[in-house]
Amino acid sequence: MLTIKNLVIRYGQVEAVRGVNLDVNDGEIVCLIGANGAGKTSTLSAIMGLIPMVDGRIEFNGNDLSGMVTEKIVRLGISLTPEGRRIFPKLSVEKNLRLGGITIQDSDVPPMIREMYARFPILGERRDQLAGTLSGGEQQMLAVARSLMSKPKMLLMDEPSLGLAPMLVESNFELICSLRDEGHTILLVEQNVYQSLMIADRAYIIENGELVATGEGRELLESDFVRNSYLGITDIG
Amino acid sequence: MEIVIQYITNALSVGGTYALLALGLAIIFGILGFINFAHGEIMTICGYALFYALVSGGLPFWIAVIIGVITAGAAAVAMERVAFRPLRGANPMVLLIAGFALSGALQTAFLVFLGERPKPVPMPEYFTGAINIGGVYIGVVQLISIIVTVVAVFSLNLFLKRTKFGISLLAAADNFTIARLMGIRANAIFSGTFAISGVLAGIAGVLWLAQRGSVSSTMGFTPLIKAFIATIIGGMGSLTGAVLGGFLLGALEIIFQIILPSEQLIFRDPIVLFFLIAVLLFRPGGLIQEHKESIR
Repeated sequence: MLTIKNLVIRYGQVEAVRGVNLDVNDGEIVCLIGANGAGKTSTLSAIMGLIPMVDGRIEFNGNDLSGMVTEKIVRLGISLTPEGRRIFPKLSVEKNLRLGGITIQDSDVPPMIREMYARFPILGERRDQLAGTLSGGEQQMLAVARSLMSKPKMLLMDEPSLGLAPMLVESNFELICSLRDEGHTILLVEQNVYQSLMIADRAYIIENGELVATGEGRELLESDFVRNSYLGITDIG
Repeated sequence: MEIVIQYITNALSVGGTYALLALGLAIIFGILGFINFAHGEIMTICGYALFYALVSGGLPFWIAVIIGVITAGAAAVAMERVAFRPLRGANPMVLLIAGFALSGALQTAFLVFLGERPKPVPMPEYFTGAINIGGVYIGVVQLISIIVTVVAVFSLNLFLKRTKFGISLLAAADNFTIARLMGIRANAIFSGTFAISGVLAGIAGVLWLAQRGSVSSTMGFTPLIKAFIATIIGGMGSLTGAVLGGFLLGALEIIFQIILPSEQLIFRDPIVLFFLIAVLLFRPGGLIQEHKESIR
């Protein structure tokens, strides 16, 4: 579904992403894992057309995304749940969802909203509350629900577990799994290595803008590289 | 007692006009993040349109008003297309200067093509009259002014909160980038915001002319300054603040108009501004402080 070839992103003199190659196929969860500043968010921003690429090619379902405006990319069927949730705090929960669905037919919006309330009952309870007054976990649900409103073909999720309490982290990853099981395609960017690799079909590990490892989720989870460098497990003897 | 009510109506009508002017500026700043210094010229364009519709076209007054306001809205959208769109994403100072430049260019164009003599805009006869309300005589112009302002502010509020496009403008004001991630088109936001700003300026222009009489090339300058002052006092970026600031400015002007002896009337404006500076000393962010980050 998504193919990224040789992506290079520069901020002034600094090369944030150097020659990254990445694929996402239909119905997969692909994880892009790395530490802070590794180039994960930059990659997502480039896909969405928010920042320019110095070099490289991004193709989505046969469409070349280079130079395309963000609004058009969204309408091709990619939805980004941004880092830090970024819901609209001064608008109600329901208005946030309404905005998420602004690209679909007006008549489809109310049933979609009902679907979101069915999936996330708490959002339904709080539908007229200002989004800024929701708890972190609830805002995360709202952010995901908002992304789902546009009936996207692919979901990009930027560190959805960041800042969530441990119990919520778990349910967050479970949610992502069930979305995949329902047929969604997801590119998940994360710092939480263990949980991401547990649910990933495939994953890429990025350090300083370069890919240093790739493979199937479980494979990487059991690899020495990941165990030593990312999970802090050393086998002595 | 009657006199007090008349003073209050005066203050409300002047304040209301300033509030509408300020709203036009505030909406552009709140959603798009920059000041449009050619805002006054939109009023002037409305004034000229009104003049030509009435005098050359011989059209009935309220039809001419509608034409004037629509022309103002269209002019604002054109302004955005021609002057500001090529500079989109530039730093706000650049956009400010572009506004200045546009303002100067337009004023010169009016002078050259439409002549230097102020053109009196004929207002309906009944504007000079007064209506008896509960035993008190209130000027027709003042009353119409107040009603128009209230309806305009109320309608804008409904539009922003209840319509799909209005909600997307509020979202864009909050975070432009995230709004784009919903698929909201940036161009639509820019054009729509300018259109609303233009319509507000047009309405304010009609009210201004009703109180002041003629259109000239530099007509827009004073209103712009008043609008600017009102938005700063009210809190930049806040629509409620703009309205409050406008009414406060109007109220202070009327109060000092009344209090000052006639030899000191020329000091009215400096004294009003002095008071407003005092307000800013206590609340530097304005009456309603909004924390606004301009993210494009």
